[in-house]
Amino acid sequence: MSRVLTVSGLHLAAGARALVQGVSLSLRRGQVLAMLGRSGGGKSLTTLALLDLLPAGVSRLGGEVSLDGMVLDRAGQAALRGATLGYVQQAPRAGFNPLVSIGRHFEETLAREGLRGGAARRRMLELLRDVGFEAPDSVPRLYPSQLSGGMLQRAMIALTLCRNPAFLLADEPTTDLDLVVQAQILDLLDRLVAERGIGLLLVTHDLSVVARLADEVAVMEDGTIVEQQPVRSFFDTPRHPRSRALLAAHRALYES
Amino acid sequence: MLYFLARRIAGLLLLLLVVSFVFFAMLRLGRGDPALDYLRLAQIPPTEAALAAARESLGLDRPLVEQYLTWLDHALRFDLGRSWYTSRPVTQEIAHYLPATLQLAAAAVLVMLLVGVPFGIWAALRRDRWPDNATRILAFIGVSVPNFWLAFLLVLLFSVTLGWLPAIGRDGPTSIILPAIATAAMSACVMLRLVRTSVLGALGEPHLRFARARGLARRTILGRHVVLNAMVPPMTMLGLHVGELLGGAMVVETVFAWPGIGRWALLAIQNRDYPALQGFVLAMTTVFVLCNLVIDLLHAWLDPRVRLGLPA
Repeated sequence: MSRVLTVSGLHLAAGARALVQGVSLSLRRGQVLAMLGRSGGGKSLTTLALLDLLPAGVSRLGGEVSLDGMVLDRAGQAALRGATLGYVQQAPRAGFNPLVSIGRHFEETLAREGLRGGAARRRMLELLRDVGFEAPDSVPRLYPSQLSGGMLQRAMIALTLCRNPAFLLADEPTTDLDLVVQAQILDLLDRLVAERGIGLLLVTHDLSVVARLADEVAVMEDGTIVEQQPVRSFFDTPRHPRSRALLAAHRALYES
Repeated sequence: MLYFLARRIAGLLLLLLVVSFVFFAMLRLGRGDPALDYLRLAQIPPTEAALAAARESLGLDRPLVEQYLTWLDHALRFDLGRSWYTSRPVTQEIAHYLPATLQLAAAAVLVMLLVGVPFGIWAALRRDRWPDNATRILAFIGVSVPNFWLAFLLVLLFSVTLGWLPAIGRDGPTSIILPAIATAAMSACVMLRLVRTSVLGALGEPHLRFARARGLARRTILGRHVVLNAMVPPMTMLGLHVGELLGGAMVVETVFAWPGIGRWALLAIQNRDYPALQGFVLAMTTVFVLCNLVIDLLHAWLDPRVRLGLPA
């Protein structure tokens, strides 16, 4: 199983406008790397670049993605998607086809692993139970519009786990969810890292999420990483002014 | 689902009622005296006495609403009266002429779908390249050419010059090909462009990103997540096309001497044959309404949000 996913010297641009400049990151199995920063700072684009799923109009000018030291070309990155590298997006409702039942979303994904029929169904129910559905039998025939945001986010995580990925990219997985559900989703991610040894890249702007899950923190600002250090020392001695401002704001919010 | 069906059927029955009443009123409130038309078609000299007798026997002396209710009462028992021109029961005449028109319209729907859907998808997937440009020009020509003129051109090429297909009549399975193409051409072109737009819209749907991130094959993504979703708007438009094709079929029938209801309806209009016209409108409205019911059901089957009564 793969150990390290690395991106180095990533440059992304939309036309003449540079969006991400020289970002390098390493994601290790069983570790949680949190990416912090303002919206529009290039966090989501960096995760999409890892999947080679950049939106139209954004192009990669430089940088390479490598797995265990092997540099990947575009075909290599495409082969990674879903299999080695899972993706959990924010606003899960936008990730499901409203005309297709939850069960068929699983069927088509499990078929990529060669699982069909009864075997696929057993695996689907097992995954649904694993992400916290207490009555998984009732879920497959439901349509996305019949599930709440929290349920959809669980279903999305279960779909991502269909192919046993070594790494998971979670782009603000708890935004738009209520606090109780947020806590449940974070618990779930935490457990996946502990039990399955998944390497998690967690994009967030919530410091309490960072404090709870992360081993390491990278702060992004205007397309570059301005600070990266282990979570403990980050909270004790933040170096960049942006990090200090974030921490101060966070403390002010929770101490009032 | 049952509730959905019941509500739809109730709505369609109401529509049928409204259309038949409005048409009934329009015929009687329009210019001209129905009694005079009746006598003319029955070839009775229009004396004052004959007119009075006709008014009474046709019920024209009674209030409009009462006349309508009498007609409705009979219509509900499948009695649409007798044609003033042929003196045969209107239901019998419609049953005789309508099937050929329905067959032609159905064949035209098939042609429209067989041309519009695959070429529309192809044009969208090759956007701004030659397939898109070629179908764009074809569609532009297709919507601009009147169906009866296209019918002449088709006959000229395939019957007169090449001798491949029969020019007129309803004789054997090949005889429907040219009329169906002539009837469907315009709708097929409209459908093609609509499918293209719809596929392009579906290609921009946000859920495709997650589908790709799950590592699905391009074939699965296009087939299940793009084309399936893209079929919803064209399918809801199909209802409007059905009306267009029924009307078109009746025009094209004349060119190909197709024994449909078009010629019969034209005669009824020219002769001011009131029972025949009323029956014709009722029959066509019923066909149109039933087709739309089928399309509504297909829509509900395809889109669970419609079926479940949830916001789209």
